[in-house]
Amino acid sequence: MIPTNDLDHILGGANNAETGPRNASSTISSVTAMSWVDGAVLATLQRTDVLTGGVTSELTRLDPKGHRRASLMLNAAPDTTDQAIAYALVGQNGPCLLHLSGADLLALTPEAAPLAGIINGLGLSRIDLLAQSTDWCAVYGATSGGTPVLYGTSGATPVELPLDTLALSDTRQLNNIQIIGDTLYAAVIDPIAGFDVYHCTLGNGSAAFELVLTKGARRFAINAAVSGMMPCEQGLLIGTAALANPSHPVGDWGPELLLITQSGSWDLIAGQPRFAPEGLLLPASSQMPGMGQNGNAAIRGMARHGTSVVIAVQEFSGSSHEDRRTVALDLSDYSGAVRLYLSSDLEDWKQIPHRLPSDIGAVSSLCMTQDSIFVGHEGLGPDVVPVHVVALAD
Amino acid sequence: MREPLFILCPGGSFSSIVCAVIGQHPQAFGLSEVHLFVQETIGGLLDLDTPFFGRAGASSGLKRAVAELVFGAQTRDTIDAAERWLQERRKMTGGQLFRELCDLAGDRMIVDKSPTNPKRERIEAIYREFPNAKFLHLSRHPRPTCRSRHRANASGRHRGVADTDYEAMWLDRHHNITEFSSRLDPAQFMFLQGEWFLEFPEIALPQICEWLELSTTPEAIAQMMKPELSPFAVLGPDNAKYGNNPGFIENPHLRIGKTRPETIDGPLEWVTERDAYFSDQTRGLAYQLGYDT
Repeated sequence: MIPTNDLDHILGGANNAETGPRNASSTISSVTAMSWVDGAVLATLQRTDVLTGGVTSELTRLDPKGHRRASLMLNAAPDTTDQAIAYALVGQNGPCLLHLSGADLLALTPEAAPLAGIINGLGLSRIDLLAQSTDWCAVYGATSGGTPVLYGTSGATPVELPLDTLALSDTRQLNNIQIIGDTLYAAVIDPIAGFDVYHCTLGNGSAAFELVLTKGARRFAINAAVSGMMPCEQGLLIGTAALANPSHPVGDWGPELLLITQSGSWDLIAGQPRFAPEGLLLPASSQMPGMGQNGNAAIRGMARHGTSVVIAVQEFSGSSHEDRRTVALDLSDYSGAVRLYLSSDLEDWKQIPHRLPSDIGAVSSLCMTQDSIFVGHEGLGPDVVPVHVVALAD
Repeated sequence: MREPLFILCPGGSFSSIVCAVIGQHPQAFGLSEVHLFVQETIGGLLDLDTPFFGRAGASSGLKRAVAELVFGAQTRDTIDAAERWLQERRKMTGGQLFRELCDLAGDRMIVDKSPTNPKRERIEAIYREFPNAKFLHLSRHPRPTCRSRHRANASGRHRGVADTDYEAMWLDRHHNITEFSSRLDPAQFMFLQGEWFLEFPEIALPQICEWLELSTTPEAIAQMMKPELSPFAVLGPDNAKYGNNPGFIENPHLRIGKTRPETIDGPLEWVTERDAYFSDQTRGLAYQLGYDT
């Protein structure tokens, strides 16, 4: 195994993923995931050339100030050297990591290699969503015939999970999956009735989805989509988005923060007080939607470090849609100004001051360390590493 | 004085039954339709109540409420006394008189559901006068709401309403209310879908009481389930016969159960001259209020 610090010298922070002149404006670079490993942040990037449709992936190691120390192009069929470098970049203490690159899963650690092999063996034409826990992995994609499929596996033969309960359609789309333990959570966008969240137990031969939250947690179309899900100490945190701006917006479109507890019940952390079958719901944090700020925004990113949780609220900056049935299901429209909030107990939240540009681009990933928040987003250019670092004040 | 509750919704949105139910709580008093924010002064409202050129019966609800709260009963004589009582207060604003009614109710929370309230300028007037009041946004699916208004029109209770006005009214009133809500303290405002309330009153009522800081004892909830006992669930004396929704007076019981399924799609049955459908704005707001079909 090559020591990671030596790798920084070998790869020298150079961009070895791109060669030759490219039109910077034709490439959208996006941080797909970040994790804190061995004193550095490891980021995976996806670069899409909108002119050619070409997609490349990159593994980048960032120092605590956000400077790129090393990068590696991720190939769908890595040779042994590439694989060794990738494993070394992740480090021996890194988690079991899989990276999604087009229709392929790439193993970033030796432990993940068998899992990647099993899922790639399914021969899916594309993989849209990936969720992984210590023991389980789930992928949502399409068969070669275009049929949506969802598989779960712990390393054995993948089990296809029945999607009929989710009632997917042109307007209802599965857009977020997450695993806690052996429970898979699946969130379905619905811009008309509000999102639904289902769960099912993996490893159960007759795995079937059951509703956990319905009709946008009874906030209906104002909670059209789950824009972020993250396991935390108390359960599964859920951030919402109204999805697109109707021509005559009224009321409070601010996003909410919800918690599905380990017992299966749910709680309103920040959001609109309401009557519900579960009882009178008041926000546990006393924060209203949008963390107290009116407007169409989404909770785009969430991260945690120890018991601390940080969320990114990002404003809508897309165009208006007359008819919600035809709303483009594109969370990239939330690419305006960002606000960051920090909590250690989900009840008391404080806003983190920062100097992020107001046109930062859609936040795609957050990572939190002891001292700072790494904000990964979309950016233009074939070589950019669209990551900003925000220091956590005392 | 306990701060009042204003139920805000367009006409035909179950407001009579919801007001009577909440008003039957021992710590509350549900009013008839007092329309206190329609005119600048009480004199203006009384003058409006004239046949032919005015709105006959416009002050009936107010007279009945005064008769009940000030004189303890609704008879021909107490309605006359209520009229005299109101004439003495001709120069008062609606807000001032509303405050006097709240004082008369003592520890009970006054509940107002006048369907004339959700106009923008009237909501503002209410909020200016009662910045700490509670506001309940009540909704009903746009199709039955419009149908109900259309039937009322056809039966002669409302005049000069064009076929397209029903939808416009539903949209305008709910738009005003939702816009207003975003300025309020979170503890002041709640949304209640009328259909859900009628299907699950046993779930909704304790929550409503909790929000309003009213007792949630089984005895109190049981009393709320009897809106027919409201003093405004019956016709008034000849000199103030209505002052409340005639449909509610005809059948003032709480009819628990799932309401008839409705649809956002499909032609508007009250528009007869052409095919008409709900506009995108109406649909969008309906989705926001939980009417996805």
